Amino acid sequence: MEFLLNPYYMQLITFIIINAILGISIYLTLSTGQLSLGNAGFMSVGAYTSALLTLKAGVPLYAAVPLGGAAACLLAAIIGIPTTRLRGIYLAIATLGFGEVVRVIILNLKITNGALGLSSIPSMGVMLSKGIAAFGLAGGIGGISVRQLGSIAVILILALILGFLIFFALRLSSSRLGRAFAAIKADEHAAEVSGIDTRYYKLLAFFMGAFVAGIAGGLAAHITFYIGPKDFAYHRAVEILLFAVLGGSDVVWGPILGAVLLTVLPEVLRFATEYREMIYGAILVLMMAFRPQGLISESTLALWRTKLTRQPKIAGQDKVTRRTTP
Amino acid sequence: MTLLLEQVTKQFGGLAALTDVGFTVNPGEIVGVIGPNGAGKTTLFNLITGVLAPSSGRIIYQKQSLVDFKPHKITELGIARTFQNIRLFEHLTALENVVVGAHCRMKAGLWQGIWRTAAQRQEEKNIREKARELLNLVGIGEDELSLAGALPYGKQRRLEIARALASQPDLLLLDEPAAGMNESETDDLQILIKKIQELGKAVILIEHDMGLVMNICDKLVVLNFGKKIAEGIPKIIQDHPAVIEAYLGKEED
Amino acid sequence: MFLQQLINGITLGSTYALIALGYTLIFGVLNIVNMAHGEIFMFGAFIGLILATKFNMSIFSALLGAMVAGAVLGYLMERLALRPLRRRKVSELAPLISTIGVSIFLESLALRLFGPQAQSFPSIYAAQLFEVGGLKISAVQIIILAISFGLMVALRFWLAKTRLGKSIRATAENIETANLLGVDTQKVIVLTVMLASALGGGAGVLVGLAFNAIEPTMGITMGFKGLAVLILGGLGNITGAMVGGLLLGIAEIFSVAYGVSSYRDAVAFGFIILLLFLRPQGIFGSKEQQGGR
Repeated sequence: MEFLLNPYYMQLITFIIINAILGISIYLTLSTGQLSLGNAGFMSVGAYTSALLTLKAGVPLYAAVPLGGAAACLLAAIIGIPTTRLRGIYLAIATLGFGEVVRVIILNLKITNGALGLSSIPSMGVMLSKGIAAFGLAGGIGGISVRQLGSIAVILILALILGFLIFFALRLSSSRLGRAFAAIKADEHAAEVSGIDTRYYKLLAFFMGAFVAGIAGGLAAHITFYIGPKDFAYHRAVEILLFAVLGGSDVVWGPILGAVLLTVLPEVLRFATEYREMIYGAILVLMMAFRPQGLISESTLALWRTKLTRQPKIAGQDKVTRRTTP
Repeated sequence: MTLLLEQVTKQFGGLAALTDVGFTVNPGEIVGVIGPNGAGKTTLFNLITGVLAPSSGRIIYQKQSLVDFKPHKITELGIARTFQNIRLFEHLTALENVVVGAHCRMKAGLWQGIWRTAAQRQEEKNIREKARELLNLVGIGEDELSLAGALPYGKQRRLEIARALASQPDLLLLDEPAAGMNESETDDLQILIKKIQELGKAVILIEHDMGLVMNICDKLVVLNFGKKIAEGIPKIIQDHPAVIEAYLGKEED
Repeated sequence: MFLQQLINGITLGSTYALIALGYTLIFGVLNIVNMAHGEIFMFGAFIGLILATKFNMSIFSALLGAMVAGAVLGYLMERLALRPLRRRKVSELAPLISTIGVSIFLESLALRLFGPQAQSFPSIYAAQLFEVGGLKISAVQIIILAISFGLMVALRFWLAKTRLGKSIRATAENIETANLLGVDTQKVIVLTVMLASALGGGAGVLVGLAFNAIEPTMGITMGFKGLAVLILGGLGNITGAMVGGLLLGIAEIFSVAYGVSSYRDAVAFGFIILLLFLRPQGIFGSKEQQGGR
């Protein structure tokens, strides 16, 4: 317990969850076969909108974060209507360019405080601790201080959001819209001729990705207290892409696994921190060469499913071993 | 009248792929479109399904002009097609492929799918039942859980027809459905197309297998170099001098 | 004033054109957008700098050395990051992602090798100024203009007249047909990537001279501009890349001259986004090359 209450680990968990949410954002767009490299840009829009709304307009946090997502969505509409007409490479470059334009604008605006970025953004943890204190638990509970309670509450809220998004993505993939997405990803032309309004669904997927990225940005802003334009540059876009490439983008678990691995890796391996970008680069190249579908693909899941259902004995053992591993 | 084409012309940068082509398709009729390779048959399908826009001319489906409609809208209006080179959603199961085909006949929106409302579940159930019926109709009912890409060639062709039928078309366009099939498979296909006709659907068939075409078509349209050179019942077309010269004559080379 | 800015714009634009040529050559032959091109360019700049300062080479030998270094990097990238993908059918996005990997790898490697701080070429060339009818042209500008236009003309000539150049064009036209015609497409692909990377390395030295500051992160900035020009000119279009580069250079210089200097780096992509609305196939691209359907 002591170990888990360590602020360092709590922070790590929040970062893992935020990255997992970003993983879902790129997954949603990719599920129609569109590679958007603009999610770092959408994230920054969400982060700045939410931060500025709380800082300058006094909007409460719980309203500011969704508004950040909405702002990202609005921008996605402007950028998406011409770009979702584009296929593959053009879309990737156009969205990358969009992220760059957003970054330069943020760098130059007064309200965003330019290169210095925004600091002392209202913190979610502090807000929640105050709430808990007002609830009569100012002294903490069971040896856990009110600050720690705040941090736990932050993690719970983030986990709830992530949980909902996973639920959303899973339900989506087995619904009429999800099938349309999958059909577009498999063969856009055949999908169109099968009666699917491909343009509409591609735009919808683009919006959903932007909204989720915007939310992740807003959450990140209120957890790190500071945001600057550098946080959302090319490297951020590549990092989000990496979640999907490493984990896989067939099923929602892929990018989540990618996000978890890539967030934990630099913390666990010292040399991984030092050579982080090089390792990232190598992962991208190696995955494309040897396992372009990512670590988890549809067939990996199918394999596990058959293992768990068709061979009860082995499946039982499997479950046991899987439970005991953390 | 199900479909009416009038003086349809399509040019690709000055090159005419189709010139002044016109014919009609009546309800429940099987119309064969034949002609040598490059005669413009697939272009014709692309024009009818809205994949390409005609340079000039009119395409009328059930009294409505199809020009300027997008392909998905045309499918919704009741025209479905298959492709010369099979285009299935390979990573989806056979059943899912057919269910995707029914997309435009389903209503469930985003949130209904997320919350699995009663109406959505009922719709899913109905569609799955219908999709199974279609798989049985084309004769691959036992393969519903196989991935489309893993099915043998002949079954893929049938699955594509089932997917097209799922959109409940009144007019079905089949682009060389017998290509690559052996004799017994072609016989089965013939029976299938007849069954589709019995369901009251009109069919336009592009096909090189003359035996099949002569057996099942009510009418033939012969294209050569993008022009219609003959039209009529199979018996007459068989003996038409222009057809023999352009098409059958070519086969002898 | 206007003419002076125009000359500055053309000088800058000619280096952009040189970078974009590298992108467009590779796209033409392989249908790949090489996201690592900017980093190869940046490596070229550093190699040129080291040769000029540490080894006291003349600027021309340094340029040559940078081009060789670029070619070597290009070769390695082709072998390690592109060829493995050609062995099987992969999505068109796979090489894009793979070269993104190469790009961040090289950038990080450069940070380790050369350090994060900006470095500059000896200023002997920049000092010399020529005055022609009230216009100031520096020796550096003349060198940049001469070399980049020289390289562009040589490239056009080489592609049009030589046997190898013709096989590159044949491969760009249609790789299967070229194969049938007896073109060793594997060799052509390697050569194209090396040639494009050599141009990139050379452009690195020229930009180093023009801006008088090179740093590991310049690969991304300049790479983005090359990408912008690539789209501006139409993917795979050599004339388009040249004209697009010049246009972007001029547009940037004028945006600086007329007071929006801080937005300079956004000009390129502002251009692209506008263009994508109006003409997705690029200024010089034909309908078939367009991104829209």
